[in-house]
Amino acid sequence: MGDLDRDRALKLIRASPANHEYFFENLDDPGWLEFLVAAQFFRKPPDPVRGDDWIRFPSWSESRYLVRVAERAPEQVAQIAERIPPTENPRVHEDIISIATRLPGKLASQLARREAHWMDTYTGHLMSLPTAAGDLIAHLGREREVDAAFTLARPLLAIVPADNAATSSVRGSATSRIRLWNYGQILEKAWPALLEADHKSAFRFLIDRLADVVDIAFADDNEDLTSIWRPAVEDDAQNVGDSLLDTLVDAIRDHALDMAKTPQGLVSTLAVLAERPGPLFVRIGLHLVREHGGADDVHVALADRTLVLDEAVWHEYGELLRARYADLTAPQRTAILDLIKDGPGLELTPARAANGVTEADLVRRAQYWRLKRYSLISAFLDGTAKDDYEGLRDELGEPEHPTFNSYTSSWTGPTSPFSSDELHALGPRGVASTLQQWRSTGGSEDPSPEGLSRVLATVVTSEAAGFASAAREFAGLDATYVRSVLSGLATAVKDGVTFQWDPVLDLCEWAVAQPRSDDDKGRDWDSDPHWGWARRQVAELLSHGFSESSAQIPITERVRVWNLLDVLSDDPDPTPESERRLGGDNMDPATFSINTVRGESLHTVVRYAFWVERSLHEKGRFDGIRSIPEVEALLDRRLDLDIDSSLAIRSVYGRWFAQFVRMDAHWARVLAPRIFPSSPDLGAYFEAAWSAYITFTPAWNDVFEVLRDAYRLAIDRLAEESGRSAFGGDPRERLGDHLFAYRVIGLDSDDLFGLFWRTSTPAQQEHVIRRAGWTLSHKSTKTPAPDVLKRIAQTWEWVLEHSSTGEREPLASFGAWLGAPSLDSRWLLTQARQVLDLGVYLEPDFTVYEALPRLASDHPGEVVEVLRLMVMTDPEGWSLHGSTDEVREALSTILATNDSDVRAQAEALVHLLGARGMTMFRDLVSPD
Amino acid sequence: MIEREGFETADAGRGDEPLLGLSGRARDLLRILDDKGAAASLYIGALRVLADGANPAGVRQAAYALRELIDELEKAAGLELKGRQLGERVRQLCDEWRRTPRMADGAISSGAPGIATSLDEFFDWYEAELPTRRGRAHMTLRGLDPAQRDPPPVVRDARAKSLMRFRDDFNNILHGHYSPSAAEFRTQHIDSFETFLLDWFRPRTFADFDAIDKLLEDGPPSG
Repeated sequence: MGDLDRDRALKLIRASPANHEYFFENLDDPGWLEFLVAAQFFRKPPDPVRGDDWIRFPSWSESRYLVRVAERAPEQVAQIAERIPPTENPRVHEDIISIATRLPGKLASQLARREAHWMDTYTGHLMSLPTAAGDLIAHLGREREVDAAFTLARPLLAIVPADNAATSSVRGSATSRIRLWNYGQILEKAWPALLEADHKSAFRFLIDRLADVVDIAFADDNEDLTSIWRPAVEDDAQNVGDSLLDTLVDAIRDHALDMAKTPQGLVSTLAVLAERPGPLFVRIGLHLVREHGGADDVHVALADRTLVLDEAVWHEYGELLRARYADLTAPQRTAILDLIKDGPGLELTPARAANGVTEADLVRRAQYWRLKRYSLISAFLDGTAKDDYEGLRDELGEPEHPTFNSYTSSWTGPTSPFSSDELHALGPRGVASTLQQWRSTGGSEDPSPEGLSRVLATVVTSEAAGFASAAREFAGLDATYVRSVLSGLATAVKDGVTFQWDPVLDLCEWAVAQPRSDDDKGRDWDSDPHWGWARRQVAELLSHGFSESSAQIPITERVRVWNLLDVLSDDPDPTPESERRLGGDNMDPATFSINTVRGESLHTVVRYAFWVERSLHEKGRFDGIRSIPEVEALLDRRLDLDIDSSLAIRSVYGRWFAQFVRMDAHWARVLAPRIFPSSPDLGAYFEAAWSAYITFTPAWNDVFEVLRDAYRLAIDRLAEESGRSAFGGDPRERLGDHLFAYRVIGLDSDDLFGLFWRTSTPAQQEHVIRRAGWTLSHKSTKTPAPDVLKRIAQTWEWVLEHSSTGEREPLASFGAWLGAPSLDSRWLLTQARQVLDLGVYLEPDFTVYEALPRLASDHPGEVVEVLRLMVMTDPEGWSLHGSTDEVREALSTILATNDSDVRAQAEALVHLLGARGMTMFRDLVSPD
Repeated sequence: MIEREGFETADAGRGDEPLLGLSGRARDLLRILDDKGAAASLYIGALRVLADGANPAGVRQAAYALRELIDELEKAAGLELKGRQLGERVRQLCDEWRRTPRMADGAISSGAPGIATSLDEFFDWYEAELPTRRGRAHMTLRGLDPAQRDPPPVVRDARAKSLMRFRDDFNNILHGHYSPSAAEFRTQHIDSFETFLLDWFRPRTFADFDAIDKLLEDGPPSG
């Protein structure tokens, strides 16, 4: 007996949720039961906690303790469990069920009945109770308390109409109160014990549930359509769905197969199945006969004329015929053949006639009916039956899946007539000649040019030098193959593979010279509809060829490649119509540009300019854009709205504008007002170019000087912009990133950042602060100059001042700044504290927790306070769980300091974390 | 929950105002109460009047301050005191009741359904806005719980009962139903109230766990 008196012990246990939980979770001694019962424990299970649109079911440490000691004090625990007051908390009921599972049969059955009664009336969520209930059912089976087991199983496994029965498929119209997976688990794990205790009742229970499913699912139908929803009783790919019907059929089939292993077992199992009308039960029976029936059983089933004619049981009948016909005696076989010969006996009823069925249709059906049956036993046919079969087969063709009334197959995409190994073996020239000869048969699932081209591209990539040398051989082929060869070569160039460009450029010239039509109406998706795709591929190949590498195009080919680009950049794609249809809300202009011939070509023109610039630089002859007059003229021409009104094309200028400034600032300054027009009438063109610029370009000082007016215009239009995010991110957020950078660098003399901040949304502001934090924290970021650091701090303090009285959401992302090693530690912690004092939780929290160990040794008092405030403002209450190592390290450092006040704060925090359930830090304050 | 160090009395008489020396845990508590409305000043006020040996009503004034402190905690937890609103609403209901036309037998006229609607509204308001004492205690404890955990019912009830008992004790003392000496008030009421508040706001979780470990090791108390 303990030293503490009763009242103090109870006070200790009841002092806090943490104490209560700790006591009961660590209690494993049934010797406490009497004391706890006398103190009125086990009398108040926690109720569900309901919010506006959620419900939570608290667990109950007291009932969990009872589960643990039930086996050692069964009578006492059973009595306590019986007296637990009614509750709607399924977690408590799960514990009671788990207690019952640990009790002897009689005691277990009493609790099981009580829980079944509760389940009869309870309609809410059951959480993980079904698993425990399945265990109890199995336990009751083993204890031979079969009635109690079924009493519990009935409400647990009840079949009910689905809430959305009116809109769901037939398969889903019947449901259970527990999840399908749980249902299957219970049938798999609990039922064997029940079957062993009382196999007929247990089996009949499942049959009844399947009948419930069928009754609910087909209540409104005149006929049983289970053969459609469950095509095969055995496991088969045609059984596409998971539903209660499937789960129950699987369970019944498997248990039935177990029971039917003996002749007596087969007879009794078939008898139970026969109690239920409906083809599904007949089909299960036929399946059993196929697996375990004797020859006579098989003959009786196959010779049953009702079954012969019943299309609803055809699959299992057919499979029985296929598998067991060989077992029949000669007279038995003859009897079956006579039935087949007689045919289905179809008559032209008024109903059929009303549906347009003719006598000829019925004859055809009868022929196919006989053919399917013959095909299953064709190896055993002779004489007239064989003649009949072969005649039908020659006329109608061999049935592919004769036992299925309908068969579903799926298409897996275009296929190639040749494997990559076969193409490799042919060699580049052999491939070219094969491609000239091969023709698709045109079937929907047959090999196609598209399928072949996919394999071809990979082969070309892996053997690029050979295919480049033989490139001219591919001139004259279909656009699909030419595109594929160029695509394979483009991939190779990207990977740095060198090859001869001369023959490749010949092929490009031939492709670009082909008649250009963009009419793709009526195309079959198996080959390129026109030469546009190949043209785009030429542009992409050249783009890769302009990149600085050993695989680049020799500069001596400048004239040839320019001539190609000159044609390609005049391609009709994109048309205004295609831009309306595929652009707009579907695709931003920048993304659209790389998916069009002219757009991709214009990108390639810019890369061409870099390629030439590089070469001229090497010779000391680059003198701005005038050194590449062909590019200057083309870009100037394409800016003329009378010549090119495409937004996608404008986005190309925006995408590369910073490079224009680098190459020739004067030229860029002249172009800027045309690329970024201020006229409201041209707002869409501004947005197309601006979004591409701001999204794909970092903040460059010299570009800001050129585009200062455009930045101001972009801020003015913040609220107007569509807000469509390009692939690289939201342009409005990127605008904030740029302005933040210009402000801290010291270029923002007009306070454009302030203007942005007042105009932007909290979400955009939050992004800017977080992005700045990430940038400062990134390992590759050099330590900014002292004046920049000062302006960074001043900018944040300005943000804090302007946000602390209004929308505070952006402040949360200051968390990202805690990882910045270049910022003063004390300043960081002070700012963090100020945000937290406003009740704002710092995000991303893991960055904050990661930073704390680094900061703890120099600033233990500040760190412990920041950590405490993080815990207190944590909206989830568990975010710290992902950073326990970092928190432990920080706390350990703080607890080792000499400052007793700080240590006391750290200890208090550790206790608070414990009170919140985070007991992993206990050793920091209670060392053993 | 574990025992904490005791209260230190003031050294009075070294200046014009009596000085108040605070124990470590009193200082802790003062810091904790600082962000809970006027709770901190009511606490220090209670200690101050109690320390003034010359004040004949010091105990009752201290009890009053501590009762008010509990009200401050309710407010800090978001519970508004609506007692006055209750009186006002009852008065309005009373006026409406008296104006309601009656039939000869005194029954309410069927043409005057307004009073029924008013009663419905009053009872809805009453249920929603004026929780029971126990309910108020639950909400206060949960609202200011730094652990932010929903306690199991036995814990919730035990803690609410404690808070209600403190309020009752302070009420009884300030109304003169019970008159402990200053020393008795300190040892029998303030000490335990401080412990209660510290357990609440600054739990010593793992120290309690250590005590529970001992309890589990020793087995159930016999007394």
